[in-house]
Amino acid sequence: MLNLKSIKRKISSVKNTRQITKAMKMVAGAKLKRAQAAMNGFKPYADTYKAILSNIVNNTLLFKHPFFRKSDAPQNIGYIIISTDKGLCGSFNVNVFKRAAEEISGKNANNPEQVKLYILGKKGSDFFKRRPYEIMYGVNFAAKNAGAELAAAVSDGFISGKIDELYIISNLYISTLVQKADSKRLLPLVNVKQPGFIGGYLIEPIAYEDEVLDKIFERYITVEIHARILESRACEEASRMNAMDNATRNAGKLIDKLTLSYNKARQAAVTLELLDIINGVNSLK
Amino acid sequence: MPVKLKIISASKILFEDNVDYCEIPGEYGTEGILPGHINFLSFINAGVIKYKKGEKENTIGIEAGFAEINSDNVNVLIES
Repeated sequence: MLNLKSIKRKISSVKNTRQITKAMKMVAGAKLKRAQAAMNGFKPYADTYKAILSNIVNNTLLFKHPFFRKSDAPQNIGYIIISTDKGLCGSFNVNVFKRAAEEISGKNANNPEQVKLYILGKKGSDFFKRRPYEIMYGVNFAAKNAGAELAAAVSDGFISGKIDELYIISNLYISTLVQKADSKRLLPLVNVKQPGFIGGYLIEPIAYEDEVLDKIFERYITVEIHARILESRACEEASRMNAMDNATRNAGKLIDKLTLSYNKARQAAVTLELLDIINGVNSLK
Repeated sequence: MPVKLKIISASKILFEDNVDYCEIPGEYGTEGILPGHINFLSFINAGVIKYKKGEKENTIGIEAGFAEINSDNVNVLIES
């Protein structure tokens, strides 16, 4: 049996851990609120942008932007993977990586050299460094304008033909308790005819029609990635909050258990001492 | 039939309402929009959007961005 002192030391160490996880949980909670506000604030913009874009895509029949380039047998496939810089956020990163591995094994099982990765977050870079895929771009969140630069890099990669398709893999925020890793194709854009709004657009100025559309398309990728990043951020904090909540609860349970064994050990020691005294008195009689 | 004017910045919806008339500062000249306007796409400069609802007239200051008009929906997206 452990002696009293070592149990006591263990209890106080677990108590410290509990305090830390509790503090981290509260920090994550505060950050979650901010991340959620940012996510919800950007949502109307992103949604409207997407709606406008799908209107344009469905109405500008003859438009030849490189984003529409569709290859019948896509060779090089780009994946944007949004992970985190910091750990201690439960299964957040693992879920994203698992999803990415599924996607990759579904599409490029036999030729890993055709997988081109664009990675956001340190954890993602660390994880995929050891795999046989080509990392085209890896950036930490700490970097400024990480999203915009990433968008520029993928647009460039697609236009120059380095990648034929582009997917984005990240966590979707469903609720504070539930996040879901999801994969979505960003490029090429697909012309899907949907009934309803028909009638084309007048684009001002007409002389620079293509330029206007170019700018709008290019910004679309930035908007899409930015929206995903904000969502992923909220997920990260929610996931961390849950993980820390669990850790706090586990530490509490452990403390209860240790306290019980501490009391038992103390009681045993007291009983032993009493027996000693009684024996001593008896031997004097 | 009114025009549905929606002004959205990257962090929130600045304005959303049905209006009778509005004016947006297009990159190549101010654009007045009444119901039944042609579907339209243009960049806009920083400036003010004027709108009229009933007898009330109002203005909103905006940054640069772009505007889309389709079937009497006016969507103004402000980049910042």
